[in-house]
Amino acid sequence: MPNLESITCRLVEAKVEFVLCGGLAAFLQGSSILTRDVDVVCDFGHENIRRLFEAVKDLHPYHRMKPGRMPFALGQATSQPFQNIYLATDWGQLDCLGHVKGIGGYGECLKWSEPIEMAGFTMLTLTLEGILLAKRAMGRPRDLQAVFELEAVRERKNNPL
Amino acid sequence: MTIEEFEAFYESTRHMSAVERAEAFGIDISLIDENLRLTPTQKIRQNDIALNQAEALQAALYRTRAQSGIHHLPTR
Repeated sequence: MPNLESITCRLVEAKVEFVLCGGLAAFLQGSSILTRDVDVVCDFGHENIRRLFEAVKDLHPYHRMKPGRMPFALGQATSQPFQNIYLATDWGQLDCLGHVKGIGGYGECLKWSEPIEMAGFTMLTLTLEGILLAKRAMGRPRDLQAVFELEAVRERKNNPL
Repeated sequence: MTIEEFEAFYESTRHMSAVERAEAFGIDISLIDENLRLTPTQKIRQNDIALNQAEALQAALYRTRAQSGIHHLPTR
């Protein structure tokens, strides 16, 4: 059963260093487009990956992009140099990215982030400007359409009804 | 939409505000206004509720398909 709120809060509780990005970040910034997964850009250092594993280990996580639904295991996660980790869990999909097109890695994304309060937790999310940078750079049809919507969101935020 | 189509649409609506451009593109601005009134917690909960309802509907569709023998419905 999808529960993106709980996945996100788990990451904070486990002290994973991450910035929300992708569809969820856009939705939280005001987009009306629903999202099916939690996208985060994160530090892929050993300690952070260990925290990520601790956050989701009881949710039957597996690599959904790899054949055979390979379980997300700590030893393999810390010994292999992953660039991205695409997980399916009991609560929904969690995509951990090492890089956001148009912005850069976790360190760069921090510069384009801001804190939000959600469900009693404080976490970082890409700013509206950061999301716009990424959407323009990705350039897929759905990203370009999202640019129109997000620019309207920005205008509405600057000039509320 | 290709990047060229995106740029052409952008150019042809340059005189418009961002809200007007989004409306011209077919985006329902009332959904944005509604979303902007919510807190982040309310937003993610609304997203989760909608996702779960969509999954329940999809599951019902597959059950109906299996029971009725209808084969032209989309497959998972």
